[in-house]
Amino acid sequence: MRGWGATPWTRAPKTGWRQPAVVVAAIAAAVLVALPAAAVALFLSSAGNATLHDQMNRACQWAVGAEWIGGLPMSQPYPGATGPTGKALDDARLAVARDAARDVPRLSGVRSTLSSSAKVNPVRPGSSNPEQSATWLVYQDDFAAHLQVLEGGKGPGIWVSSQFAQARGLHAGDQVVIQGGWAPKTGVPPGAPVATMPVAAVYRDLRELPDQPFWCHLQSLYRPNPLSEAPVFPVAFVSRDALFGLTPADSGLGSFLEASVDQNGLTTENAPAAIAGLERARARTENQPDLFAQRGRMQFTSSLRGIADRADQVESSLASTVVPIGVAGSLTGLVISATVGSFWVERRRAELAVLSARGAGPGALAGKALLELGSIALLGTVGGWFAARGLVSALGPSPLVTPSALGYSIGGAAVAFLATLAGIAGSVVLRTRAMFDAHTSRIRHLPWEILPLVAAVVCYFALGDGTQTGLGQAGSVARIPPRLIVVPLLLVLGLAMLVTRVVRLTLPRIRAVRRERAVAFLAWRRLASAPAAAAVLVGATAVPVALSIFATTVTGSVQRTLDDEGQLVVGSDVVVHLTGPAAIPSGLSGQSTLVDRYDSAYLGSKTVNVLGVDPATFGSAAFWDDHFSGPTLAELLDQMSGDTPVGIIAGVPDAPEQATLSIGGKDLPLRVVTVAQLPGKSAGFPELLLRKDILAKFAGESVHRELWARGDPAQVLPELGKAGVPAGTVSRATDVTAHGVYGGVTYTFAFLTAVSALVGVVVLVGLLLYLNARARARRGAYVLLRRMGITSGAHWRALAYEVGGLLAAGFAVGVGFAAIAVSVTYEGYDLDPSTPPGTVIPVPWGPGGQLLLAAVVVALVVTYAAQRAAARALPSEVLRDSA
Amino acid sequence: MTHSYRTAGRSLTALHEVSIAAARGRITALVGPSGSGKSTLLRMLACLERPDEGRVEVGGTDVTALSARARRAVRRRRIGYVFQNPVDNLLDYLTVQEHLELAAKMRGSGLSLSLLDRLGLDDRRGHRPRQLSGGEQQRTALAFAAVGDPDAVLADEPTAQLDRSSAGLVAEAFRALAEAGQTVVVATHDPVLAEAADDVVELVDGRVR
Repeated sequence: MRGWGATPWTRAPKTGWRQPAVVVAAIAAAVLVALPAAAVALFLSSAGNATLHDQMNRACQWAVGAEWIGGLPMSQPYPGATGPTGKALDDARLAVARDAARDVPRLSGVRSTLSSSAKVNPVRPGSSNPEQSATWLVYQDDFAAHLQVLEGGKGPGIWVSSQFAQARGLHAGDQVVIQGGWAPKTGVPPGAPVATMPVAAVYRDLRELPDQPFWCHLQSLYRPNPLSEAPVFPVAFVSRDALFGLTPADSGLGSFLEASVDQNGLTTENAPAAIAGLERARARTENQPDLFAQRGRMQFTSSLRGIADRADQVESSLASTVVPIGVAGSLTGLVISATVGSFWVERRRAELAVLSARGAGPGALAGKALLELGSIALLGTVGGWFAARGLVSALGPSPLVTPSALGYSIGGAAVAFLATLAGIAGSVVLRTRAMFDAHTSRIRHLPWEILPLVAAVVCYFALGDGTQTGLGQAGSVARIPPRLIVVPLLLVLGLAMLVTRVVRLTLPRIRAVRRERAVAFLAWRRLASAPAAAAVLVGATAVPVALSIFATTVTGSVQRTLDDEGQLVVGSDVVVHLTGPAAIPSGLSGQSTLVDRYDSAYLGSKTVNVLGVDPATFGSAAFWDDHFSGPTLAELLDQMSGDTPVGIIAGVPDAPEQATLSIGGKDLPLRVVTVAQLPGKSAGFPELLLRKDILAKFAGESVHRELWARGDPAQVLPELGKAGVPAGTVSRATDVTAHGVYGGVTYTFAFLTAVSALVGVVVLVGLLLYLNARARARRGAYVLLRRMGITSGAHWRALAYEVGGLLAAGFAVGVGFAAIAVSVTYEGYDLDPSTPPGTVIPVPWGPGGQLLLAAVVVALVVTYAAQRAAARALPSEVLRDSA
Repeated sequence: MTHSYRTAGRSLTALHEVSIAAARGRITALVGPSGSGKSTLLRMLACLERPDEGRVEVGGTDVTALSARARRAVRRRRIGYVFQNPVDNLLDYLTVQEHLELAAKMRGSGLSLSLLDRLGLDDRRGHRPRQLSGGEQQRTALAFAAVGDPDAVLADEPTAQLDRSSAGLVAEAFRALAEAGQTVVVATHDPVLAEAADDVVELVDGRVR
């Protein structure tokens, strides 16, 4: 085309910036396409790093770094053996470990912890609770700086915990006798060292505090663990010399050499360097068998590799859902790009008509559009990239992203820029062909909107349900089945396009409003006179509404289902297995209950586990979700309150209404109520709820006592410690779904929600373009209508009806689409179908209401702005322009 | 030629078996009431639209059957077109001379500024459209259309928004183009222009009377 070198093209890069409305629209379009495209890589990296840090925060910092655990023998195992022992061996090991750790990136210095069990008794005779004398004696570098001192704190001696001091009536300055070498199974060996020393300090017992990261490696010594058989005693701290002095010569100490990894700036990309360094450190210490492999072998562990692997898995599993969401977001942004192309043609109509009449074809005109809008779109793309970077940094799972993710995001933004230009150019070509070449394509008459719907059906069957088994096992990562994302996206887009066509075709044919209602009639006629724009806005509004309601519903459902599964398995937020009689602590009244558990009773011929519950308090402490089918827990407990013994059983759908419960050879006839699920189903047999007093009559003392409590475990457990509740093992609901297995799930829907919000911005921009494109006609109409007696208020109402009607229709259609998407995919929301209660779907009234409110506010604000613009028109100018 | 438009699902016949010929070196005026099909006929002749039936020949070439690209080439090289509204014919960021340079560049022809002299615009070559009167704008549009000696210059109501004096100047300009050997076809209501025409074709309800 000869015109390329002509003035309209050579000056185009400058002329593009002269039309503020087009500039704003082009920048907005480029931002909206680039933002999701650039955000995908950033978000994936951010999610991977968040998973990395989340796991590290949950794990013991020393276990994540380098940990050598083993024994420290005080003497050689057999005569003639050589090599250091005792303090010398600890010093030698420490020197080697510190040397090995020095080359490991991000690794802290290595510290030593030594432990041994002992008997500690007050020197003063007749002290209370003499049976509570067993303690763990621990030495650790810098231990004093990490304890809350209640009494004393200076001078030599032993540091005892507040609970131990209270039980034994000890205070700072009291003298105690320490018998070293004591062990639960062997007692105090003959000739074991004994020392008398003062109580240097009384510190707050670690059991009274939320778990302290610094003491995580000693948690198994003082906090019962359901998976550990290690004895649990109070922990007392002594000096290193004192501990060696209290250790028999033929015995040894527990030894920990530990270093932590600095998390600041740690990413999935630089973690492998630290992992490789840790591996080198392991190899270096293993090359010193005389120090690390003799009696009391030191075992090296580091969980960083596993954590980094899981973070990588979460990142890659997210890609299958986040990438389609990002692509869908960018495609939606492309709609605005195409609209900008169309908007540009409208604004340059006269010039384009001149050029077209002189033989400039659609390609040349599209080229002119690109020359005019290219630099503007580039600015928008850069803005979109920075917006993506800022949003992921501020709102993403983690502010950390890797350098390679930055590179990919820049690549994504570059592709988005080209796509934006393609969208603009394509739209200009089609519009100019239709306007100036009188070219009508038959393609637009074909129902091509069916293609996404057909693709949705194909994907529904081709992608499968994506059910995973073995979640929670080592290395497993839960992921959203791609079907759960891809099918609704295609479905919503296809339905939106179909609705757009239907509205466009039917709107001009509807005679919905009588002429007598002037305001409504005016609004209706404005809509009917531009059916294509109105239809596109209805469809475009429906998409973000549908996607955000769908995303909110699925996120809520997945999270609620996981929470319910965790709490249903455990029974409540925290279940503490008691080692002796206890009362409910005053600080936990109203949120806790005491439960007796009797395992292996028989209901007829079936083995069942019986829970003896107090109907008055069980309902306030046990987990229940009213979304469960059947009667509520309160109704079930009401049935247990009568004179007739009633058993509530779960897991036996065909249980008879009357049955005999056999407990320890005694029979109890009872009425049986069958339900789908009950809280506390941790064992393999079906569970039966029975009133506690009835169970006590039959089972006597052959029950396990438990305390169930609602609330944050970090607050519940210290309450138990303060009240002196004899706590054994602790089960937490959060542990069931912890370990980063489900991390990717939450991140996926967070991204979908963010993209939905972005699509909402797309609609807003579209709405503004719609209003701007008709501004001139509206100004003229306003002046004429004012002369016909229509007030400015009535004109605003007509505008509000026009815009509000479009948004309301789009909102209603979007809610319908969301309902369809949920109904098609809801079975996939239960990521662990083997665990009851199955999918729970909370209706997102809150987010839905917020969305509706946002739509109303948008309608009012944009119509007010449009009304102000119309009211500013001068009749003389309008009439001259119209002439 | 026969041609119909579809509006709101209804078909409206704009041209019904119309047949005309416009000769080189002559001004042909299309006259008739509003809605009679003058502009539609002119758009067919200008290769801006294709008739439903029939054909348009430019210099013996049937342009109806050509591809869109070839028809654009015909528009570029062989036809000049003038719209009714003077402002719609010109680019507001180009001077009079730059308009002619643009037309010459697109036609691939040499630039002769003598056309400006012939149309009385010689002292206006550095002015932009908004600095010109309506008549000057329309004469500039004529010059813009006529650069490079196209086979035909077509104009749709070129004097509709001009006063009588300006319309007279435009009519003289058309006469100058015709005398230079170009085919001039003008759709008009203006008696001044109709009187200046060599041939007059009257259209009523899409038919030649």
